[in-house]
Amino acid sequence: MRGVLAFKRFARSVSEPSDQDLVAGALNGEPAAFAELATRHRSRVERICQRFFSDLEQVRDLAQETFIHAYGGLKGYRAEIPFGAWLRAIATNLCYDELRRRRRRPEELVADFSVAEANWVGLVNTATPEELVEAAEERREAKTLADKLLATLKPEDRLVLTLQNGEEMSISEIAAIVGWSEAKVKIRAFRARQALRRQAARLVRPRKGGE
Amino acid sequence: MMNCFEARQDFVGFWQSALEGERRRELLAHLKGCLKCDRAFRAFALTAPMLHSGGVAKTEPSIGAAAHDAPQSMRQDAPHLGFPIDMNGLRRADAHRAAEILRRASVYRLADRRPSRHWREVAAGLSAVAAAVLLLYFSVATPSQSFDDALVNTDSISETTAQPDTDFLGQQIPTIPAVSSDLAG
Repeated sequence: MRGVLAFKRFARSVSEPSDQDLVAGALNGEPAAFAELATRHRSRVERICQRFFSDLEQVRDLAQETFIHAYGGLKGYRAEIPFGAWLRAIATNLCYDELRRRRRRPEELVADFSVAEANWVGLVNTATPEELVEAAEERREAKTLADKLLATLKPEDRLVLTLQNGEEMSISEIAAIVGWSEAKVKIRAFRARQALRRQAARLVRPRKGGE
Repeated sequence: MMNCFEARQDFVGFWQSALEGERRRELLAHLKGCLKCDRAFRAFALTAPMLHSGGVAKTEPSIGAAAHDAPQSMRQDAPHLGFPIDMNGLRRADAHRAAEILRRASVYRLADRRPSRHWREVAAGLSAVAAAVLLLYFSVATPSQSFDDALVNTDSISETTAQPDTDFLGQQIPTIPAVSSDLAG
């Protein structure tokens, strides 16, 4: 099975032009080359945008903007960086700009809960720790609620946590993409986690007396 | 007996079902007896699906990785990779051309580029100016005849209330005697 996959990958690499070939084609004024690049990387770019925004239209707009910016900056693209990673950096920066433009207030959080999310908060307040771990695996609303908590943070906090936890990027990778020092990324990540826990703690009812 | 610091260190392991045996029992016992850690764990449970669940697997080497794998001379350039292109300096012609390519390739069928914020601002400004001009005109310019004038002017009333003496065939309509005179009669 693995051999078949490897062969398919090899065959594709032989028959299909590489990203670098397509970039060269686009720079030579071939629209089809850039269209192929966009088709090839579209889903990845949209996935990154979805890490930051749930609105599908917004995601598509940002993905499109990413390709438009990429087209405008193709001359500055350097071949030693994978094209997908270069696009990811553009998409991330565009999403960050958008986050800064429309910052949400924490007060909006509770009003935004769906019934399922409110039920999840209720369960978190009442269930035993073991029940919680089991329930969280099955419940999609556990993730959507965590995303809503994340959405209340400052744009820079949200950016760092999304890249670190959603995209599983290292500190150095994040620093390279957003143009901050590694120390700043570390500090920002630490503060972002603290802020997120503070937001979550607001939803947990204090208990009286131990058992 | 586990203390609070140790208990909180084990939250992640417990959440990921990696904590077993005695350590797990100690943590559960601690959470039962410590209200602060119990609350901290519940807050942790709200954020854990985002912070401590498995993310998307990497499918490609990243910019950061490329920077670290590169020789020293290239590594010095790493911070510049953060802004691979000038995000504000996009030429309008390039933007339109790229949008057209994407549209023709059906990558974004519905994605005719939205007007930029600049144009939206200009449009909003023009609308505001137009509204202000209209408001000024109606507040300064007096109409030739006010509503009161129209009521006082009897001619205009008689013109609007005059009854035709003939019907639609041009025949004379006989005058109907007043009701009061019939009753008096």
